[in-house]
Amino acid sequence: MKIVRIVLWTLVAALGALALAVLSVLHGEQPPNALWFITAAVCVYAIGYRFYASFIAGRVLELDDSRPTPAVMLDNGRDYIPTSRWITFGHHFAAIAGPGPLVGPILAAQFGYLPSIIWIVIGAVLGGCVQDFVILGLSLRRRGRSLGQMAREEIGPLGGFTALVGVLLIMIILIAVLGLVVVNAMKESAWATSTVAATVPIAMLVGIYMTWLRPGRVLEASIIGVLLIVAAVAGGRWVDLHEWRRLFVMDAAHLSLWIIGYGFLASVLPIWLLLAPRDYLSAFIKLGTIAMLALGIVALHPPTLMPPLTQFVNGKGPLFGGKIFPFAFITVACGAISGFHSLIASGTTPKMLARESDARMIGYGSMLMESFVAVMALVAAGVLQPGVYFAINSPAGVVGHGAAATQTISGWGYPVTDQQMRELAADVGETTLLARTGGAPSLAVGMAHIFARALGGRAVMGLWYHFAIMFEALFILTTLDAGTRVGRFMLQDLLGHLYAPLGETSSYPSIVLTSFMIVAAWGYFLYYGAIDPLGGINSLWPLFGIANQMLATIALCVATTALLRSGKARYAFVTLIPLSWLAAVTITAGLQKVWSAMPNVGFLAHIEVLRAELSNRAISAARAAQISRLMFNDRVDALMTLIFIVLVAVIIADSARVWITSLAGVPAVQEAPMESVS
Amino acid sequence: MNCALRRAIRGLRAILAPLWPELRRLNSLAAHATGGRRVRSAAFRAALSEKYRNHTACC
Repeated sequence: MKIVRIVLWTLVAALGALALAVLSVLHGEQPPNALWFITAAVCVYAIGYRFYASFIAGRVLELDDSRPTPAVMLDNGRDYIPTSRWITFGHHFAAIAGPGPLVGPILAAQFGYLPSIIWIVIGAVLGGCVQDFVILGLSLRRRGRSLGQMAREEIGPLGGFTALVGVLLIMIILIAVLGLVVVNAMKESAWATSTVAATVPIAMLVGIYMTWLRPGRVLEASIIGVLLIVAAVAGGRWVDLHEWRRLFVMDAAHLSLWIIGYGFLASVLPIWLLLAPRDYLSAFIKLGTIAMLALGIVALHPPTLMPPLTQFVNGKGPLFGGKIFPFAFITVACGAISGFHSLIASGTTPKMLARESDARMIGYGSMLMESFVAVMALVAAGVLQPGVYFAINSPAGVVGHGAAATQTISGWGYPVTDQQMRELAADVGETTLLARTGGAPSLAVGMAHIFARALGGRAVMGLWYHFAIMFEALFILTTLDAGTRVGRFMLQDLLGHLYAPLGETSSYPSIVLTSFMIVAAWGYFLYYGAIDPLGGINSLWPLFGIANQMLATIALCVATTALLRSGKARYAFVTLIPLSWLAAVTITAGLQKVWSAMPNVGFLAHIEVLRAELSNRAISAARAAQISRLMFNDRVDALMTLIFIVLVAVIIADSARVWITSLAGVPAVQEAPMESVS
Repeated sequence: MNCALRRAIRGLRAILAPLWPELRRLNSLAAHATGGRRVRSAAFRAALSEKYRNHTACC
């Protein structure tokens, strides 16, 4: 039996190696079929889960089912509830899976598919899954403590404060960049805007149903909501042909103001009315659509058209500037490792686990699933012709407008015609798909391409495209709602130390004021991203990537410190390897974003280019005002990046201080003792 | 074929059966257990407030 197992796992390893070889060198003239992506990912995941996750569970975390979990110890029927591992898996996956793994790989595909697929698969197995699993395991042994609490206890007050500030700042950048993705997907599109707008009253209806009409009947309410949303996607076509169309056709600046207003309302309205029902709806549609996409890719196994590497490995890409290292790793973001997951893994999930050994499937396994979602997003980008991909994602400020844009892109060696883009736009029910930066529209085109081939053909491409846009917008807005509210609570906690009434979370003036402050903070970045002639995504997405990896750095510092303090120095490499890599990536990317001499990368170099343009007396007053705004924006972005670099340096230095003390002295274990839990 | 399909459905139902009440209890946040509609509504709203107090947005 043992020999059979050895042979089986050797075959899995060989197949995975073959798939990676095909993707990198053995594919010949034609880019490979999508099935090679799936095969490479599944084989590497299987080996990672079977061997590496098992090693971490047994040796590093020493998971032991005879120890009661926080859910068992503190069962209160509300937040601490021992729950089946399958339900906890679904809950955890729905909580960690956001728009990041969908958008990041699409943007990183400007380098070709190869850097992304390697980082998504290897980064997840050795980095992202390890972070989620270890943080979950540590929180389990600490009565479900949060990352901030563990940072304070393991590293010290400075570590705790750094984690708090880091989370608040990342929340602001995250919401702004996701808001920008949804704005760019909806701008000038009545169908997309009306469909997404309809999700607001639908969510409210669901909220009223599950709170007032049939209290607690979440499943019934969600099914009604999902049916209404599907009807709204079809209804959007009707709006597009009706005179109401003009109500929903807006430019990016106006749409961003609507999103800012929505964010404020979502933060001050009762949770049951908008936030919670949207979250439930989003979870159902998220899981269903991801399953549909997986089935579609496996059943159709389309050929990919994207080359393994493009000429933009030279750092002069139209979507964002910078070379593969560090920017491919920053851009892929959550598909390989996401600092945000550490907040979930030390939030609700450890309070639901019924057995310690479930942590492997939930912590490690859920991140493997998220990584698989990123692989599917990469495939969805890969099925588009490269010319079409660049035409959708390149900002007008780089490639020009209309026919000029397609000529520029064809000149790069990725043929595309204006006629081809017009036909594609007509197929999906849009007036134009040129310069729809942000990744969401090209993902929607790729998804529509796959879904329409399976069901309905070219005639229903428009429905599938807008279904995909609605799917992306729905959970982007869910993140926006929840993020604004959490940011508001954090701000109230902070301001409460300065003036007690501001810390009262039930005081309406305090709610309104702190909501306004949080919304103004992310609204600033969103609005300036929306009016940025280069699309905004080129500066905001790398900033988000840096912030997210910075949070992962904090989580891995906490994990490494906890391992060292509990006398497991020989296993600290498990978290130290991804920590070292992330520190190198984050700090290099941060330094390049501020000081690179290339104006498409460095904020300061870009300011110099703008200053030179401003000194030209021939420019119009309007352009001069725009340049002044862009220069100010670049300075703010540079300042934010510097703050991120300082936060990373502080947490690493403070952790190193504790590591040296721990290695020199007696380990101080922070785990909840066995006797107190039985 | 029909027989195999029926067996598969029966198997799936057997797997899902124990999960169902647990899922219902989790979703309803234990608010369905007692009292009339007003009481259940108030309990559900209170439970949602608590649940989403620290519900972190993820990316």
